[in-house]
Amino acid sequence: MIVTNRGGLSEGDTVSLGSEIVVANAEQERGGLRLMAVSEGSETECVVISTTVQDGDSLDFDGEVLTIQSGPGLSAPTVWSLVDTEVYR
Amino acid sequence: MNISTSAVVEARKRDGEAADERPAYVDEALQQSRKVGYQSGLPLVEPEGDHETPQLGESVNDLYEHYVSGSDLFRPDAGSFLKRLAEQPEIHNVEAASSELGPSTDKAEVRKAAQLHGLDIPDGEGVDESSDEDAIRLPSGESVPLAILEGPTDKLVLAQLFSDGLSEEEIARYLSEETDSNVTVREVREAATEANLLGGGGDSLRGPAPRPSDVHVGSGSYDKEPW
Repeated sequence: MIVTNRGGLSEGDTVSLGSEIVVANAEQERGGLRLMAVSEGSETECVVISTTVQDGDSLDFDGEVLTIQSGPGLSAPTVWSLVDTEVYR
Repeated sequence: MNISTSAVVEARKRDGEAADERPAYVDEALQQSRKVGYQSGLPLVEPEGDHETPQLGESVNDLYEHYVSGSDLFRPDAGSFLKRLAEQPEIHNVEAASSELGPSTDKAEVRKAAQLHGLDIPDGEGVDESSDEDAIRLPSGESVPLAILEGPTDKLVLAQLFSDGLSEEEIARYLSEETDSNVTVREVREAATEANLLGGGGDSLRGPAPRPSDVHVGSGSYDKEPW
């Protein structure tokens, strides 16, 4: 299993994880997003993306949802996800 | 330039109204054209389906509704849109792409999105402006250097635009667009009246038709043909 603990991430950045995520979480820090994950399997490069969502939205993408964070104040929450770079090819 | 006596006399008779018949290039020049910049002119990436080309001064905002910008560019399904943008001849660097995508998209996002989607957008700066800032481009395509004009409502320019069949409202919109300033109908009317380019309807002209010596360009004068 591979442990990932990367800080300072922003949307569109790429990170390497195992192909199967055992557990993962993401936290917004001052310097950007911190991704913590335990994964296994062959190393896979993924893109960090986020989507602002509303109640009732449907998410339609080929990726792994990491976490959903409440927005500041009354802002809508944000879903953070990882998408395999192969999807972009 | 192509200013004839008869065209100026006809323009004076119209008293600021548009000509019923005028060259096709006039109507084309009065429509919005493609420009680099979000909601500035027509979008470089066209929207799907049929749409009317807005006239100068009309809103183009609706034509940008299909644009993808900001962090949405990182979504896998944004690749086709970004590819269409990158293929436009005006998009020769990330700054031009960022400008076209609007204030919610910075250059770093364009770079990152292009890399993700496997697109080549050169990492340069500078946006090509299709318009020459040092000249007024006439509807015919000819450019007149600002240095030889007395301002946006120079009588030589007004004489040409009225001769082409534009109304005073159209001239105000056209010159506002060309000079990136706010040229009002009132300014056009006052300058044209002073230059004897407007004089009332029919044969009741208020003053004599402008003579070649009345139309000066810098230190020279325009004497296309005798009056």
